[in-house]
Amino acid sequence: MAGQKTRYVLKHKDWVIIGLVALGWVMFLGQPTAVSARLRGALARLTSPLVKLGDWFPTVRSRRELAAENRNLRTEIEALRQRERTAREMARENQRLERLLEMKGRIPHSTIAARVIGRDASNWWKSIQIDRGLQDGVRENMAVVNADGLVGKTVAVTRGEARVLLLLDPDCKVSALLEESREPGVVQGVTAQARCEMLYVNRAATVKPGEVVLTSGLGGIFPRGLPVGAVLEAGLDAQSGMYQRIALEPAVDFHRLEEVLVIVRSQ
Amino acid sequence: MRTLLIIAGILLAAAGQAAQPTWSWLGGVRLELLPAIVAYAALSARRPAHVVGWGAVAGLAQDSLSAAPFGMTMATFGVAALGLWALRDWLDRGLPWVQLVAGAAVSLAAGGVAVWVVGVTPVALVKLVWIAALNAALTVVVFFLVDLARLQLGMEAE
Repeated sequence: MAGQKTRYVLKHKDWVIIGLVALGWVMFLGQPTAVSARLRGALARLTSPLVKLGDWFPTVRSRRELAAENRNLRTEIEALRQRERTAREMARENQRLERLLEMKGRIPHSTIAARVIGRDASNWWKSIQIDRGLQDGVRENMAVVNADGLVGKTVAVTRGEARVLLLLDPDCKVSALLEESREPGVVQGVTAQARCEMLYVNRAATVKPGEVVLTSGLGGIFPRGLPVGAVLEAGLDAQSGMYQRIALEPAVDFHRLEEVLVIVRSQ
Repeated sequence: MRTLLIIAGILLAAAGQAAQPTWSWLGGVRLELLPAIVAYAALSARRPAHVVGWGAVAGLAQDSLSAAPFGMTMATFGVAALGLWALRDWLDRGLPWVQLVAGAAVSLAAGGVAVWVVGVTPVALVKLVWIAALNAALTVVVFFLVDLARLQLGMEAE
């Protein structure tokens, strides 16, 4: 009986195999997703090495072509990325220049736009170098601003460039006043530190933290109304006891100076 | 040729100083290459005129790219270099601690005069010492690199 069954199966083995495959396929389709995914993964792991054998077949040429195309595309992507970086940098520069133009519109004097090309080679002075000089109309003791406010004044001018003494330098003294209380004082840098303070402010004056400090226009170098900074804290001057000494947060970020305006009026 | 190379090196170092921002991770100072170069010249040159000359060129290069009174650093570099040169017989220039002290000495001399000009404050003095320490370390690196370059180029000591 068993022998008869075996012979029947062998006689119709093709149909048996087809039936088993069909059954397996139906069972496979009915499996939950996770299991089928695992099965798919296991099969993929088994078959992937075989796929690489394709390199030995005539398609190997097209793979080489693909590799070359890949290389070209990568080069192109790098070039596009570089172009994108340049475009982004130009957009940022545009924004800065737009703000600088706004500032230029607020200043009722003629100005010269300049680019910052260097800083101070020494650790003891606070200055920058700009790319405009005598041939452009820049002279010594001209006020320099950027979109945020007062930067400093020109001190040494050559034919094609000028050095600007920053507000942070103790030698750069600016006549200023508090915006609300209108109390006058002198703003200057603090020795060996990257900050500035307002001196000689009336000891009876009420000074609020955050109050804006503007140039007063006295002295003839800095036009009136340029933002200098904001009050951080105020206290009595320890040396004289007669005035207030106010620590200021400069309006300008001196670490990120790139373009400035030189105000020409004051000569 | 050698003179031109040295001048080019000094000008490059000065430009490097002026192009640097102040490094917040170094306490808000910039690295100074020129004191290291002056210390190198002081301990390497045979003739005092050369030492003073290189010191003066380095000082002028720095002053031209700074708001410092023009000629101030020239004088301090020149004097510091001459002082080191006078001690060269007692100093072994190959020893790292000698290089450290030489770099610190030049930096302290130039920085000391600068502090005296801008105003002596406790913060300025701390900054002076810190910059001298940084320059001392940089001097050892400069000695190594320049000696190596001279060895490669086959340039003899003066």
